[in-house]
Amino acid sequence: MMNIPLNVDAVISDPNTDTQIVILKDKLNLDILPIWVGMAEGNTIRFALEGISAPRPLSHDLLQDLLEQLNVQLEKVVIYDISENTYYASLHLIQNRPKNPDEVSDKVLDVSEEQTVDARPSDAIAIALRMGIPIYATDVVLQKKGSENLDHWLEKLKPKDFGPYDA
Amino acid sequence: MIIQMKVKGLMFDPYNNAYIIILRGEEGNEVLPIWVGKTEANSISLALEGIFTPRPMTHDLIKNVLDALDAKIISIVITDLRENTYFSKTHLSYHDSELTIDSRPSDAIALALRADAPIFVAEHVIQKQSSEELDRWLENLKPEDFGKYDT
Repeated sequence: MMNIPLNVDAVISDPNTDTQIVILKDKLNLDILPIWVGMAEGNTIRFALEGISAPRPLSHDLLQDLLEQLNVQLEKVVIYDISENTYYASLHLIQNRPKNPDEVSDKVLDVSEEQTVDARPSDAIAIALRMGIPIYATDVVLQKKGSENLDHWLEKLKPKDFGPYDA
Repeated sequence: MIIQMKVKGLMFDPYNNAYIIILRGEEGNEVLPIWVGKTEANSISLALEGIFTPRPMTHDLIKNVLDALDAKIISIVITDLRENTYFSKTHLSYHDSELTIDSRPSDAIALALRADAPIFVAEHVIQKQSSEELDRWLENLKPEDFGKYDT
């Protein structure tokens, strides 16, 4: 599986539903990945995109503060799967912790450990934008999304969308 | 002085189009209403009712991150109330050290419920709240609420 870096291009409202669409694009604008998110999640991402900061820390600011205080680096977020119109993402964290003091070693270096935590893409994107962390999607997601998105549109079509072909 | 409180319920406030979390003293009769937004209220209500969503909500994610890092929420404390805004601190233990993080009470409460951590409120917040709340009610009063004293 290959990871392709993506940028958040825009957050747009989907007039058909009470949701918003986060548009992700690759560097060459060859691949577009639209992800449907809830209204609140879309607004959070829009705030981060526009660099608006709230007077009090919002939930994703809190997560950022926590990571900073715990001395944990967020290395990247990866959108790694799509199944039945649900996207799956993960946060890749690097935890630096002091070596076990009982361990006999002349190295002073900390032990780095990578941790992966399951997340909704909306949370992963919101935190990545705030922290300036790269966002990736796997090539599998970019290939699969073509057909899954078609399903999404077909589901939303109303009889009148089909036009007067039988008239 | 701090008082331990529990989330007693959630109410909708039609005047402000917001939700109110009702905290009540574990032993005494202190009551502290906290106004929160819809998303935060939703997250708190999921935790109160023990509902697991198919995908992790934002506070589940924060809790999962803390679990993965082996960090634990010890307690949350609502420390201050200024101009209708509550301030709170989340206390964590991590590798033999303790740290404190500034947060909104809505986030702190949503996390405390998920981590089974106690919720504390500074006593002066409860005292202040009763006077600020009076202001809030007075602001919302309409002429007809005053009744027919002049008839």
